[in-house]
Amino acid sequence: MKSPSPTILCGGLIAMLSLSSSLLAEVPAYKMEKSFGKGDFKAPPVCVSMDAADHLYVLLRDGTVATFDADGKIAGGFKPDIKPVPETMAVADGRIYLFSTVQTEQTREIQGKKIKLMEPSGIKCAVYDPAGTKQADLKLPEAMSATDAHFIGKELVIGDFGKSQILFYQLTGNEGKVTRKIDKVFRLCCGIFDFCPGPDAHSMVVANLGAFKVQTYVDGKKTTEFGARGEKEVEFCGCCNPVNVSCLADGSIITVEKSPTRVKIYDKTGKTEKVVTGLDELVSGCLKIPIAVDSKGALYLASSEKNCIVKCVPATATR
Amino acid sequence: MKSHITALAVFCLLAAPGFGTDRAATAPETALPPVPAADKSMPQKNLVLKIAVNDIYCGKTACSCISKIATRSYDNLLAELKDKHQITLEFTYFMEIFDLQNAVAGKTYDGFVCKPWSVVHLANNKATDFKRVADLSDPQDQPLMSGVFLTLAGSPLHSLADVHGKRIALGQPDAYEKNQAPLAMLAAKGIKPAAQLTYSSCGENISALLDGKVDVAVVSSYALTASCAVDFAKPEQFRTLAETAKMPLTSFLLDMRKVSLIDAARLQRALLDLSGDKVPKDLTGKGFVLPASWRPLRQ
Repeated sequence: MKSPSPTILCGGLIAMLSLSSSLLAEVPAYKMEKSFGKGDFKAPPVCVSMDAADHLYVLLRDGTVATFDADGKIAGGFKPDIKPVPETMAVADGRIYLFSTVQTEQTREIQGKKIKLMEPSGIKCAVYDPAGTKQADLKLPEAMSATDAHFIGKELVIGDFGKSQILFYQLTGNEGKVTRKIDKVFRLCCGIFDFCPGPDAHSMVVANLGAFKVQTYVDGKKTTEFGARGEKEVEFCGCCNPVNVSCLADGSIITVEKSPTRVKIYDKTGKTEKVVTGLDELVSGCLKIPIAVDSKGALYLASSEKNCIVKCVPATATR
Repeated sequence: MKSHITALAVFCLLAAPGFGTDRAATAPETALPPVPAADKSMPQKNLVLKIAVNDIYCGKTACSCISKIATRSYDNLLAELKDKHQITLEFTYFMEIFDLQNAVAGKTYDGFVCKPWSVVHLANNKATDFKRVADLSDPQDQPLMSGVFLTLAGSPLHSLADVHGKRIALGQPDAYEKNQAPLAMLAAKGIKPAAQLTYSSCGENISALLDGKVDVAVVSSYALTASCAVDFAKPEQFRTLAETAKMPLTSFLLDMRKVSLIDAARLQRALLDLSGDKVPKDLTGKGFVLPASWRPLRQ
C-alpha cells in the first residue's frame, strides 16, 4: 500500500526492491539478559556510558551514578551533591562528567494565556573520579541545555536540545571554548537529542528524530544520512524516531525506537543488517531509550519507565 | 425533535455539491445522515462496540511534545454514554496510525475514531463499509481540516501557480490532505511540479523544505500547532501559497457491515446529545457535530 519514502516517484520501485532484499532471512542475533542490575536501581536510569574497560556507568534520575564491572556486577557508585540534578553524562580517561541544565522562569503565551514556565538557560558540568570525589567544575559557554554529551577525539561535544545544536568544546584547564557548532539542521522533538561517536576518528552519528533521519557528520559536516518514516522494518515509525543511536566497532549503526520499542542495526549506507528481536516494550510514549555498547558488541538499553537495563548479548559472544 | 431538524438542515447544507470535493470522480458519501429516533418509550438494551482510536488531540495517542494542546480524554464521555444512553464503547488507543490501519485489516473493531481517510482508503475491497456517524471538533471547535501548500517565508513563490516547475513534498497516499487533495488541485489548474517527493509525516515534509530539498511542502493544516513539527518549525518561517478543500479532521466511523443502521443512528444521537453545552469538559471544545458531507476522490 505504501511506497518507500522519501522517493522520487519514478525511482520508487528500484528503491523498494533494494530495501526489501536486505530484510530477508534474519535469525535471532541477540540473547536478552533482563536480570542485569536487578534491584540495583533505586531511581530510573536516564543515561548510560561505557568506558574502555567495559565498565558501565549508569546515571539515575536522582543524580546517583552506579558503576558496573565487565561481569555486570555493581562495582561502585556515588550521589554527587550538585544542583540541578544532572541529566546526562560522559565518561573519559577515568573521569565522569555530569551535566545539569539550569532552568529559569519565563513567561510564555500559549493559546492566548500567559503561562509561567521553567525553561533551560545554561549548563553546569561537574567532573568526578569513579569514587565520587569531585575533581573540577567546567565552564561551558553558549549551551542552553545539555541533553547528551560525548568525547569525540579530544573534544567534548554537547547536544543542546534548547538551541537544536551540537557544540564542540576544546578544554583548557576548567574552561571550555566552542571551536565549532552544528546548528539549524536538526529537527528535534520531545526533548530528546541523542548522538554518538562515529566509526571514524572525527565522526559522529546523530538521531535527527523529527526528520526520521540518522545522519553521520565528519568534522562537523554531514557526510551521509538515511531513514524515513514508514511501517516497513527498514523505516522508522511513531511520531518521531529513532530516539537513540550508537555504533558497533565495525562501524554499523544501532538505532533505538520508542513506541513501539525497536532496535535495528544498519550498515553505514542505511541497509538493515539485523533486527534485535525478543525485546519487550521498554517505554510507552515519547521517552528516550539510552544505549551503550561494550567491546564485545553487547547492547545495554536503559528503560526509565521500567527502571531497568536490558542487556542484549550477541549470539556469537555467548557461544 | 427540533435538534434533529436543525441537524438535518446542517447536513443538507454541507452536502451541497462542491463541499469538500474536487472535480475528479469521487467515492460514495462517507457521512451517515441523521436518522430520526424510534419510539423513545421503548427500553433500549445495552449496545457494546469495540472502537480503535488514533486522535491528534487525545493525550493517550498524541506525541508528548504537544501535551499542552493534546489534553483530550474520552473517559467522561464513555462513562456518560454508558450511564445515559446504555452504550458501552470499549476503546483501544493506538499511538501509531500504522497499527490502527493494521487493525482495520484484522476486522476486530466495530469502529474507529481517527482521521477518516486513514481507514476509508482501506475500504476499497468492499469487505468493509465505513460510515462517519459524527465529526469531532478540535479544541478551537473546528471539525474540518485541509492540506496547506507551504513555502519558506523568503521564497520568491507567492501563489499556487508558482509551484509549476518547482519541487514539491507531498504525503503518502494514506494522507488525503497531503496527497490526493493537493494533487487534484494541481491537476485541475494544469500545474506540473518538476519533481514530487513523498514522505510519511508533516515533519519530514517541513524538514525537506527547510533543508532546501524542495521548494514547496504540503502539510496538514494542524502541522505547525499540533504535530511534532512544533518543536522545530514556527509559523512565521513559512508562507502559505494555497489550501486544499476542507475535509473532516477527526471522525467517529462505524463499520456498517458489523453495526446495524439502527445502532449507528443511536450512537450518532447519543454523541450529539453529549456535545455542545453538555460536552464533558475533558473532551475539550464542543465535542461532536453531525458529519459533514465528504466524498473523497476515488483512488
